[in-house]
Amino acid sequence: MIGLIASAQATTGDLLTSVRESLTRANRKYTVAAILAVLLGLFWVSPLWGGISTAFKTQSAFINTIPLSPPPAGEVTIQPWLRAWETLSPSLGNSLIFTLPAMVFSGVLGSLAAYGLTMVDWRGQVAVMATFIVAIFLPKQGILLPLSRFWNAVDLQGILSSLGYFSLPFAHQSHTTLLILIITHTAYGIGICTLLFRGYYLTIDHDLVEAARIDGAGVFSIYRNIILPLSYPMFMVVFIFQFTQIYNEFLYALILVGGSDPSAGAPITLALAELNSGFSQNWNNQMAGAFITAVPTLIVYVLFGEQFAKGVKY
Amino acid sequence: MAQLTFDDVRKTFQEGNNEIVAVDDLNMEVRDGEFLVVVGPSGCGKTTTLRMVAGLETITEGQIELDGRSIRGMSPQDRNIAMVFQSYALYPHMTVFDNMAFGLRESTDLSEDEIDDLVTETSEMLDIKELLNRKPSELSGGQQQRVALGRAIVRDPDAFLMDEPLSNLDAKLRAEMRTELQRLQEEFETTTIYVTHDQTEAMTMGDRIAILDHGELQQIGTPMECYYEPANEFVAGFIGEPSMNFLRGTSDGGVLRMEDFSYELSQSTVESIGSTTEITLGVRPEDVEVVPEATQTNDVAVEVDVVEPFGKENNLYLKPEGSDTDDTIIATVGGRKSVNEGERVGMRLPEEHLYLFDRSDGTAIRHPTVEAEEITPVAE
Repeated sequence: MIGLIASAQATTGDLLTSVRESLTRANRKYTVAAILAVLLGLFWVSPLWGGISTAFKTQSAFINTIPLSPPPAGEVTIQPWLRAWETLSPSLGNSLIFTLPAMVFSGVLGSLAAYGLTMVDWRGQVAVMATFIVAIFLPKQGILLPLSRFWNAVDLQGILSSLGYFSLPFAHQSHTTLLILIITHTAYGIGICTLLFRGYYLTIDHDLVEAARIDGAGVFSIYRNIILPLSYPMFMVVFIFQFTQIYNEFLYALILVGGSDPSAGAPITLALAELNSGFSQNWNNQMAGAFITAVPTLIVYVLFGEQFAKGVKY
Repeated sequence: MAQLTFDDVRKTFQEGNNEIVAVDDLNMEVRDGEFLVVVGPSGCGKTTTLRMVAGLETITEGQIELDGRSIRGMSPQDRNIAMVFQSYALYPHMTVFDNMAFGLRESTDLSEDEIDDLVTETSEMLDIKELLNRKPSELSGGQQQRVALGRAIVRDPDAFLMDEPLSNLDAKLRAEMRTELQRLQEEFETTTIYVTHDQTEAMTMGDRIAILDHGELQQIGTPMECYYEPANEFVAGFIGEPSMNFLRGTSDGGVLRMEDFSYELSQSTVESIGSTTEITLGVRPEDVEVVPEATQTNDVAVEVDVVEPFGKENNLYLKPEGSDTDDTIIATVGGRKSVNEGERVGMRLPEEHLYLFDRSDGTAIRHPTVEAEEITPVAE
């Protein structure tokens, strides 16, 4: 009997010793780091979790429970999602219609500008590059007033109708606003796209451009045949970045579009804001709406996230 | 068919307030069909010179003429020259075929079929035909180098410009490509300027060698001329491996007083020295004779410091007895002669193999005298 107790004590003693040993070795740092990482992860994810669980709650469940707790049994509903989708879906099309072209144009123009600034020799490059950098740092709020005045002065509607655009079968009233958004976002995005491409082009071996010149290729031919094919990774980065920036953008949309009327060209960001206003705050609808709005960007990251990471690592 | 002429060519770079002279009043002529090797230490201006011919650097002053026309100010695209880069600069996203075809597509009006024929033909000549559909990243260094060559050859230019094309290859491959390049150049008879820092390549490949130092042309001549009749100390020390031994001395009557020994000169040598007193004596390692004992006049008693066996020959580092410096004189002897480190032997410098230089500016005063009978053709 005493023997059994003694051996049990010994085993526990061994266990405690080995635990202590593993904690005192380098493993301790690893364990602490792992615990911290898990805690931080939970902290980051908690708002997301809170949002999702709210989106599945009924109104009463929302009032009676804290955000972090899951919807109680019997109070799970998909109504918020349906209502949110109803309000938001007409604007989703608008968002994509102006985001995708603006993303492509700002990327292509940025690539061309960066090419001219890194691979072609001419005077004044530093000054021009400085202008691009300044453009990146221009705050949206600062140029908001001149921008809206600009679009008031430039009667794009009038220009388009005089060109006969509105007589085309697919033309719509809202296209003017969408075109305004495309142009504005392209212009605002050129600065950062140029900067990103410039950094990338500086890593390309200049010998390639010299060899192409000796082979007889002119400036544009070098861009088309040599630089553009090599830019593919950076285009992925720029497109993903610009998509997120332009799609999620709220301020220009608010000022340049006005209301949240989808037929007037309102993007999904404005429609979401509409969902959030009003006298009765339906948090569950708003949470569902927020997630629906985020879906395209999530899709882009899931599909192209690896390209993004590869492209950023030169 | 193109002669290349350099007329007072000068290239300067601005660095802040300083003006750096990269090439200083270069005057030389590359004959039609000639293989000229431009050689010199790093920073001597040889690559800058090549790039001026290519059009990748502007010419600050002077003229360069290709085939009779001045090419100053002309863009690289219009010059009808082809260049092989040290890094090969192959287009990484194109196949070997497209790499070679690119120049033809951009600078000629040939049809796709004609281009196809030319590229295939050139690839056969360079033994890379099976590689035509591969990308550069799938090739070995030697294969990439052949593609870079092929890209230049297929254009049939007025001149080939080569910027140290063999320096990225291992020693064995380098030796093979040296021979191959020579063969190709003789076949095409295209004027070629070949830049390198390797004097072996210069000696073995060039019809003539141009040696540059700090932007100045030191000498231009055949390999034999540069080896046996160097214009100055720099050329003498640069050409030849292991390089020439240089010993400081003063001329005193008919005797050269060196640091560790004296050397009696013959009358004719004294005459060629004239009134110069500060002399540098030069002797090539293969001309230094090693004898068992210092017996004759002008023999020097030495101790063997280091022995470097090469198989076919031995390099001996000889230290004169009584010398208070660690300076050694290198002697190259046959590989079958056995010498040990620490042995005391005699060193004999035959007068007919001595080079003498004016110490004040390095110019050569006297070249070795070679008896006419010593040079005999192998075949009659």
